[in-house]
Amino acid sequence: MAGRGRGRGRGGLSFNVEALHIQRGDIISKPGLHPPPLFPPLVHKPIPLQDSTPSEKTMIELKQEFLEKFRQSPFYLTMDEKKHEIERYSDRYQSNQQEQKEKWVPDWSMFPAELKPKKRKAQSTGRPNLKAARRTLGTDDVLSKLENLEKSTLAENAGNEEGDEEEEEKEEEDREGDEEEENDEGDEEEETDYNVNYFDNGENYGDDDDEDDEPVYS
Amino acid sequence: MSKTDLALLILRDFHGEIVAKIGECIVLSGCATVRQVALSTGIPQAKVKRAVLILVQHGIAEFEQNKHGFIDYKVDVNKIVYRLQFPKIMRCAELLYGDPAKFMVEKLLFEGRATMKSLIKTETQRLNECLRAQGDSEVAPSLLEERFEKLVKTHFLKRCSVPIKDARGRAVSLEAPSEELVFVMPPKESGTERVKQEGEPPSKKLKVEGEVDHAAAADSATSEIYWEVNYKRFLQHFRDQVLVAAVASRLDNEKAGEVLRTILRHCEKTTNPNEYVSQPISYHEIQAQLPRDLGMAKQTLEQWLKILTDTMPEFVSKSADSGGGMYAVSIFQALQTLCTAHIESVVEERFGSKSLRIFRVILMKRQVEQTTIEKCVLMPAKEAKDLLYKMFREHFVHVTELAKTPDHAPSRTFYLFNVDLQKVARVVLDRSYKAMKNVVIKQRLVVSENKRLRDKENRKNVVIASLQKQHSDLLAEHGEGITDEMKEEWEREVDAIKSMITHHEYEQLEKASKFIHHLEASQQQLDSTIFLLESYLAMTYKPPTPKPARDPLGR
Repeated sequence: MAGRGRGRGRGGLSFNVEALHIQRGDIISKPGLHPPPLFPPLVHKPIPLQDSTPSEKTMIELKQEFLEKFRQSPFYLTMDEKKHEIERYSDRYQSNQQEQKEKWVPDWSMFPAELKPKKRKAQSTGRPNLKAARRTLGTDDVLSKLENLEKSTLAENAGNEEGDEEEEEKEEEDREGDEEEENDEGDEEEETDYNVNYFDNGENYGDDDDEDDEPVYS
Repeated sequence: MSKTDLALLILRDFHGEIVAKIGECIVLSGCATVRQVALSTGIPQAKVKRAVLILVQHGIAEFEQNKHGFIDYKVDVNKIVYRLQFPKIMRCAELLYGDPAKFMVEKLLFEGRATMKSLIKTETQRLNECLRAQGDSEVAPSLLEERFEKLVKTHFLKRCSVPIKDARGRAVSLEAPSEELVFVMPPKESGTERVKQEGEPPSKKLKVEGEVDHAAAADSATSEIYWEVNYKRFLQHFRDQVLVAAVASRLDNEKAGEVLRTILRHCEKTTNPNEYVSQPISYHEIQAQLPRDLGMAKQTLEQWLKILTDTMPEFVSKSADSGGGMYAVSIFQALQTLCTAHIESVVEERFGSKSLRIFRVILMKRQVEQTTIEKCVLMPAKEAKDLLYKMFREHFVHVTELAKTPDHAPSRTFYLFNVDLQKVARVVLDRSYKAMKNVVIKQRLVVSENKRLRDKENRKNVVIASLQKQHSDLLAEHGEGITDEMKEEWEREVDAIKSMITHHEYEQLEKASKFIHHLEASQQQLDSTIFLLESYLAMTYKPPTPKPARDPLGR
């Protein structure tokens, strides 16, 4: 303003304010430096609401019912509530409520594939499935036995020199088999594996016996 | 902006906090991938996926593959705001086609979309359960099927968008069904073919009936067709109802409204909903289509049409004399008139009747200088100026500058005041949305404040109901063996439970429920204003017309 101060008597406006029909005596409001009040005084009171007609009343009820239905539906997602520091008895029942919602199975062909939640394979519990493992072992045993038998018969035919050794081996194997059967029985009686030797000599490395039990990293 | 805020509140009411947050994220960023949403909201991806799934299922979100190969999701705010109309839509379906239609529409609104088969199956079951409870006889699925067909034929239901699959069979984007297929029922399987049922209201017939049977046959064979509610058609119906109600209340006669309704019903079939003026209909056609039970004589109809065209030329006009007189409804003009009336009453309530006088002068004279206004409204110049500038500040009045010289010097410029109805309508609409938002927030607050009490009352009711059932069972079992003393004992038990809620708490509950009802009612009335303004503004928006192809010879 100082630069323009050529001394016209009136204010700082650069134009003739009378063009806006503001007279000499009028008070021009100063530019406000404060934000307008948050709750300005209500000059005109609003007129009261019209009474709702019966059909409007039914629509209000319809709406509330419908919203409630949505709230109970699988289309309503809520945040997981923070776990309380102290576990309360009532919590168990509250968490159940969410699961009680009826299931909704979307038609996946209508949606992008990425929206489909991936099914995680069940993680292995860390305990080897002994029974299954042993059952496969058992068949191996039988096979090896059969092989041995074959060999032995062949050997017998060839000559009786190595017969003794063979017989000893056979006996040994029989004994092993017996022991294992006993183990099996023991296992069925009580599900513990104390009497099982966990030492792995690395022979079975690479065998895909327990494919199902491997953890999946995906 | 208020509209978006309101939409997010609605989303929260319907789908919970997570979906609202994700909706907000997508709306604010225009479009986003699942990963982007998860990153910016901090919600785990599994939940984001679930939420997006819900949004897509309900037709709120659409998806499209972007150039990087990811799938972008977009949210349509309008589709969320349509949820305010849900009760109206259900009620409308009920009034038009009865309970079966209401049940089906309700289910479609609830699930977003459904196939016809599953819809009819579940809803027949539900309807029959209801009927059984009321002691009425059950209905067959064929009734629902017929109603479904009617709803589709009258365009109240439409086919959903179909996903486009990429080479590996994954859905990558959505495609609206082609125009001639949207409202076409799939051909019936040969086994279930029935005799076509008559008795359909004469006005509700499909425009393009029977045109595209071969295309439909090809389509339905390939896949299941999903159906959804056609909101636009319902809105159009509501709009026509508003016009009818306006005429009926202006002329203070239901019959006048019925005449207009008949014309509008005819127009539904012949006119594009966005057309400013409907196709003319001849006097004889109106007479033929007028509901019989109205019992209107020829002469009376003629008189009503004359009154309509004379007193309300902005609604109905006579376009020609052939065929006993051709009549057309100028829908846009009518809406504009209603809208102006609404805005005028807003001005009156907000700024006072003196301001309304100024406002009307400007509306009448279109472009007017300040001195002229001061003279016309017969008010002291100072007061008029004060009121005028107040309205100007609130964007109800606009100014056109007309400079005499190119330097736009204020002293050599005319300032012409004018009212741009569309702009004002937008201002009022925005405020209405804001008001609606405030009402919704207040309502939620009241509900949450009284949640504990309401729960308590619910529990009390449940306990009392179970006690009473127990008692009546005992009574039925032992019959005479129950003495009066025992009955008294029971009553005392019930009373004890009733007294669990104190008198003071009762009062509070009563107060809260009254307040909530009040808020709901104000939402409804706000909604009617919003609806009118929206439909007026929707008509003013014309999609840009494609440029005519240039003549290759340059002629």
